[in-house]
Amino acid sequence: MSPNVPPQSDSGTTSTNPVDPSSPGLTSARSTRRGPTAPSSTTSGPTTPGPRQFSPLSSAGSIWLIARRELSVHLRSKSSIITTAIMTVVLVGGLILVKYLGSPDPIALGYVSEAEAATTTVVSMIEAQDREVSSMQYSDLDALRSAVTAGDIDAGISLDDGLTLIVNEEADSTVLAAATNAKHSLAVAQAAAMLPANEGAELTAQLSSPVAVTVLNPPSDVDGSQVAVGFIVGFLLYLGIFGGGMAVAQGVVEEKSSRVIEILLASVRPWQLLAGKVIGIGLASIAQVATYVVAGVVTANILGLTDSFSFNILTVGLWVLVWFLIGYLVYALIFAALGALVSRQEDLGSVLPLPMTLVIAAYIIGVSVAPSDPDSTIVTIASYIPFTSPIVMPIRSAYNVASTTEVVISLVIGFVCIPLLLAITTKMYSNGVRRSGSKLKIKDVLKAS
Amino acid sequence: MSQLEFRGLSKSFGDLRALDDLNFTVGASEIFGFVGSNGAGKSTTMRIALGVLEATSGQVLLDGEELDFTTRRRIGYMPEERGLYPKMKVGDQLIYLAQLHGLPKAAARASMEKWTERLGIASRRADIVQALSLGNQQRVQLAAALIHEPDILILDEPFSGLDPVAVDVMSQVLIERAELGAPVIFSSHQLDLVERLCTRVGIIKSGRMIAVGTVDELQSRAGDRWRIAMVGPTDFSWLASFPEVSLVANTDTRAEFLTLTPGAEQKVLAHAAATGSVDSFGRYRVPLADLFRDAVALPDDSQE
Repeated sequence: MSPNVPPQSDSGTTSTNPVDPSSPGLTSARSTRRGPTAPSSTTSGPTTPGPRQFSPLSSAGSIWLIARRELSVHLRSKSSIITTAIMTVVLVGGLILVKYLGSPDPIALGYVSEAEAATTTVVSMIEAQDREVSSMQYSDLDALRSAVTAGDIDAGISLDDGLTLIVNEEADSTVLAAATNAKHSLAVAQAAAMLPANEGAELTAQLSSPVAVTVLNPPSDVDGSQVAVGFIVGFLLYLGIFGGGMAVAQGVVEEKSSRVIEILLASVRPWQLLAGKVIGIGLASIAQVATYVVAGVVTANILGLTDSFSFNILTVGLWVLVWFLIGYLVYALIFAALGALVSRQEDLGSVLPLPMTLVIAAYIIGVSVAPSDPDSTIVTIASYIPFTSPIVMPIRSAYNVASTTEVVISLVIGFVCIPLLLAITTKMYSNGVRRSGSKLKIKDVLKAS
Repeated sequence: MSQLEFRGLSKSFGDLRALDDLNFTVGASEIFGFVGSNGAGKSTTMRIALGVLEATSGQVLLDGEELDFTTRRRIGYMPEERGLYPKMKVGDQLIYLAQLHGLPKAAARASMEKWTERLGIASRRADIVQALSLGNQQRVQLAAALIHEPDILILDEPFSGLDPVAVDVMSQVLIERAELGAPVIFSSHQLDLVERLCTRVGIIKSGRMIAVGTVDELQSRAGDRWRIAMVGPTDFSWLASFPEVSLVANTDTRAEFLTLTPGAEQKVLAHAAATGSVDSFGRYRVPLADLFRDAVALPDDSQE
């Protein structure tokens, strides 16, 4: 002890007074018991600091504690609940739209008894166009007309003038084409009946065979449902990765701008804080993306959309989660490192443009280039670069244009990239978070010890 | 019992020398008042102790061992710029900070309840921090510093922005922790408070400790000062030319002077009594504020 220290008693008696006894105003400080907390001081008196009753947390313990806080903050945050709810509604609504726009209303036909054979021909022709169709017989023309007027059926068929279509306002193009063809076949059949049997058969065959089409440059086999699912996959991944990355960057800056970082660093190390934050926000984001995936897969199954899919939607859903994990980690680390450079939320705009451009580029390549040309060089390259592959590769998978080998190679590149990013980010973050004030330069936070 | 020693601490920010070979010790049960002008280096010193900043050279030792990550956890710290999650509830936040320090959940909750009660913010536990007044946020900040029952307190301007009741509560807490053996360091610009609370005071200027000691010691450095008051207006010009004393200041009824040789004040008194009516006469205690003003007014090289 320094010789300047006045004699102290360690006996703990109340007469021991650390305050200079000669100081004026001493009594007012010591005798104040009128404060709002005075009554409680008897029940919750000071405890001896003495030996510590608790041991410092393990790294895993600290990280988990931090992650749990982030998780609960983000799961409970109004904005993320609202976003998730809106996106789920949009997704389910979109699938319902796909279902009903993609498969138009079934066509209801009516006919009078003598037109039964002609109607059968019309029905088979409409069915050949992948439309659902039903037919019903009416007792006479008047009953048929009133059924059309009442809207019970879309069109009535009679044999007046060869074949007549009775419609309310205008004829459905599919029905009109089928009826026209049916009328022509009836006429052909009548004409053929007048010819000798073999010539008649030949004439019928010639007139009813479709025109042959020779395709010189067949397009990739991407059907409408694949384009739709690819679009949804790309959008969800974009939203999840971008949202998660932004949440990490904002969280890092929040701790710097509110200065709570100084208190936190008194009990945890920077890398633990970084790990906890990335894990916690990651779990919240996975919960969000998983909600979309489950909502999408369940809705598609309920609507029966999956029957016409040329791929397994559950597999697509699982791949979305795997790719989300990689994409999130890559971008969360980049966003955290850059977020640590600034001390105010407003300044985030000056450090984030590069990674934001990358995510947006990946999204644009995935949803606007890939559908028309999934085998193009740019799409293929983008599906290997870890900054774009998490969005582009799952879209290629949805289009069935990426082989398993390609997917595995891309995954491995992503997984290898993460520890490298982690090392750089840890360095930048550890050096950056301690320095508040003006924006830091990347080389400064990389250089500092 | 712990002792905190700052040994040869220097810190440069680029060309700026924020701390220049700073040395001082705070013993167990001591309340050390850290005073200095804005930018003198108080916060920098504290932040180095907490590991938020790294010293360019020098060490901070706890009982002779350099502070490291583990031993720093024993410090209760209140940063100059208050730091809390603005949108987190007071109670949840304090429990979280206690848990980060290693308290199990139940103990963390008990500690939160104890300190919010003690500091008069028990009714605000369910409110988010930014909904509280600045004074109450300050109390939460102190609770955050105390939540893990630290052995050492390092508080950067704990009294700024507090109302008198809160100042009293805060003072009591500091005294109590010191009585339990904790070295307590706090910085403040409220020098009357520092004078009242502190066992020892350190005055820092431009990164150097220019004076350390008890308030009495610092006062004795200012010399043996006396004050004489006369009944009725008096011309004190005789005092200015009086041998063995030096006139410090005077009004027309009162004068303060410094004795240059022991007992000189008695000669002054005798002279005054012979020429007029003495109203009062006695030793004059220089307020810390004046000591501080005098100390920082000295040219930089005066301490060499």
